[in-house]
Amino acid sequence: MQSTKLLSTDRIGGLIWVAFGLAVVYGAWAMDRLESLGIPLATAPGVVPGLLGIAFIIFGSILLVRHEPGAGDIPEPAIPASAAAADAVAATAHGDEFDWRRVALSWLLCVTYGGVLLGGGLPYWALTAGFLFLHILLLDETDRVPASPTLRRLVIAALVSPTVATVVMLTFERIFLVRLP
Amino acid sequence: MFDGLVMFGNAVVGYLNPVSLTLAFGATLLGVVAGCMPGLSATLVITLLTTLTLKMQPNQAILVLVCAYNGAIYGGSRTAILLNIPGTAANAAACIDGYQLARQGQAGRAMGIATTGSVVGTLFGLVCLALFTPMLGEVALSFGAFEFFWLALLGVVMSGNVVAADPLKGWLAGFLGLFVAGIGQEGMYAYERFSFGNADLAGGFGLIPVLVGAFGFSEVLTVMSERFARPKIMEFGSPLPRIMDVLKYWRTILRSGVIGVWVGILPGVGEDMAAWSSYATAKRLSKEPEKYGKGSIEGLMAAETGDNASVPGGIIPALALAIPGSAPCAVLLAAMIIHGVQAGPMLMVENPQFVYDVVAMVLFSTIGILFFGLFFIRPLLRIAQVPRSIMMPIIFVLCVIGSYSLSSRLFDVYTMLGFGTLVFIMRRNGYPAAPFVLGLVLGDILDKNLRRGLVLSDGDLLPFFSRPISAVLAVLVLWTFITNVPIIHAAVSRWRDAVVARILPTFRRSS
Repeated sequence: MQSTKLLSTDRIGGLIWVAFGLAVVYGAWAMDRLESLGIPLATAPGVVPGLLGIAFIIFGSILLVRHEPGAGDIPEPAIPASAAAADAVAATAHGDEFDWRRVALSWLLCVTYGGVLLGGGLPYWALTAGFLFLHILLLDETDRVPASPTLRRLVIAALVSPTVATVVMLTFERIFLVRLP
Repeated sequence: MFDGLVMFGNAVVGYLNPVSLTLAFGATLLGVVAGCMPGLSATLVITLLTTLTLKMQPNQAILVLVCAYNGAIYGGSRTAILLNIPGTAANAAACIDGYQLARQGQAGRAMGIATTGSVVGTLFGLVCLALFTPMLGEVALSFGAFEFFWLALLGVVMSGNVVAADPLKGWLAGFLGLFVAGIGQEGMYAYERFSFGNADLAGGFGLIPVLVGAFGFSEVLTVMSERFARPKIMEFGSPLPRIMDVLKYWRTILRSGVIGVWVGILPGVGEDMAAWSSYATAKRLSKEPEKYGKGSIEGLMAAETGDNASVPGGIIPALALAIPGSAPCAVLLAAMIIHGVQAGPMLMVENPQFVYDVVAMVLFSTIGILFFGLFFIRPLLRIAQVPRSIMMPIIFVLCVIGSYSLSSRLFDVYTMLGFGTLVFIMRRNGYPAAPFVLGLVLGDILDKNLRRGLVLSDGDLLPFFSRPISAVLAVLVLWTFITNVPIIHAAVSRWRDAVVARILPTFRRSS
C-alpha cells in the first residue's frame, strides 16, 4: 500500500520535474546569447541553465518510468541513508504521526505573520507578540487542532509572547541597528 | 611546519581576551543547548547565528559560528542517550547503544563516553585540519577552471548520492540548488537570468534567506507536524569518563577519527554519515559485535568520535577549495563570503593566518565541550524539556527578523517563506535538503568555471576530460551515477563484498 502510494507520488514528482525541465530549457534557449557583443556561444548565459534543464528532464523521466521500488530494483545505498536512519530512530522513539492539520495551521499563522501582515503598518512588537501568543495557544502537545486553550497554556502564552517580542525587538533595533519593518 | 605552529600560537594568544573567550564559550554552550533540543539542527543554529553575527568583526563572527557548530554536533548526544531521540541527525547512530546503556542504568557512563569520543574526535580532526588544509591548498593551486567545475559537480552529485535514501531525488534536489543559484545577474556578463523584469529577482535570491527557509522554516513546519510529549529524563550517575574505557578502545577511537575526518572531507556528505560509517566499521571489526545494539561502549565511542571528527574534516575542503564538506559547512562558507573571507586555494597564499585562526577556534570549542559536557548536564537537560510547541514559533520569529535584517527588505522574508515551504514539501517526498544547499553554494563556482573553461579551450570539451585531475574527477562523477544503475550496482556490491571478506580478517582485532 505504502509503496503504491510512494510510486504514484514519485510519478507525479517525475511529471513536475519533466515539465519544469522543459520550461527551464525553453527559458535558456530563448535567452539572449549576446552574440552582438562577440561572446562565444559556448559561454552564453543560457548554457548552464539549459544543461540543468536537460538534467531535470532526464532524471524526472527516470522517476516517471522506473519500476516500482522493490526487491533488487532500486539499489540500497552502500551505507545506511543517514537522514532516513535518523528519521527511523526518531520515529521509533516518539511514536508520533505526521498531522497535516498541525502543519496547515502552523504554516497559515507563519505566512500570515511574515508574508502578509509584516511591513503592512502594524507595529513590529505588537504583531510579533500577537503571532507568538496565537501560535503557542493554538498548537500545543495535545491531539486537538486547534488546541483547546487551558488556563495554564494561556498564562504561558501571555508571559512568553511579550517577553520574546521585546527581547527580539530591542536586540535587533538597539544592538544590531536594524530598522524594523 | 614551524610557520604553522607559530601562526597557531599567535591565533591562540589572539583569542585569549575576555571578549573572544566569552564569545567562544558562550557560542559553544549555545550550540550544545541547541543540539540537545531535537528539531534544532546544527545547520539551523549556524544559519540563525549568521544573521545575528553580521555586524561583528569577521574573526569574531566565524569564531561564534565554528564554536556553535561543534557544540551542536556534540550536544545532540545527550538526548540520544537519555531519550532515544537524536538531538541532531549526526547523533542518530549514538541512539542505538547510548540509549541501551542508559536503560541499563549506565547513562552517566554513556555520556562520559560520548564526551570523551567527541573531544578526542575533534582534537584528531583539529590536527588534520592544521596539517592537511595547507597541503590541499597547495595542490589546489594547480587547479584550473576545468578542475573546479568537476569538483563543484562532484560535491552536489556525491551529496545527493549519499544523504538521500533515493539518489535520484538527491541529485534532483542538488541540481535544483544549482539552478536557483543561477537566478539573477550571472557573474561573467552581468546578464539577468530568469528575473522576468523583477528588480528584486535581478539581484538573485539571497543565500542566507534561502538557507534560513530551507533549514529554519521547513524545520519549524516539520517539528510542528508532529505531536511531542514532554520528555521524561531518566536518572543518571556521574558523567566523568573512565580512563579504562578510553584505553581499551584506543584503536576504535583512532579509526573512527580517521573515518570521521575522511567522510568530513568528502564534499557534502556530513557528520551523520561519518557517525554511521564509524559505527558500521567498528561493528564489522569488533571482537564483540554481538554487543552492538545492546549497549556497546565501543559502538557509542565510535559513533561520537566519528561525527565530531568530521566537523574539522568538513572545514578542510571548505577552506582549501571553497567546497564545503557538509551542509553546516556550506552555511559556514556562506558566512565567510559575507564577511569578506575568500576561501579557496588562494587562502593559504593571501591569508594563511586565517586557517590557523579556525584551528584555534575549534580548540576553544573543544575545551568548552569538555567543560559543559562534564559539569553542565542537568541544566542542559532542563532546557531540552522546553516544549517544542513553544520553542518553534520563537525560532520562526528569529527566522523572519534574521532574513529581514540582512538588507532590510521584505523580499528576503518572502524568499525565506517560499523556500521554506518548498523544502518542507520536498523533504516530505524524500528529497533531502543538504544537496539543495550544496547546489546553492556551489552554483556560482560551477557556472563560472564551466564557462571559463570553455573560453580557455575555445569551446572544446576535451580539456575537461584530458587533464589528469579533471579526468579523475570526471570518472568519480560518472562512477557515482553509473553505480546506481541496478545491474552495475549489484556487480559492484558482489565485488566489494568479496574484497571485504578477504581483507577483513587482517584488520579484525585479535582477542
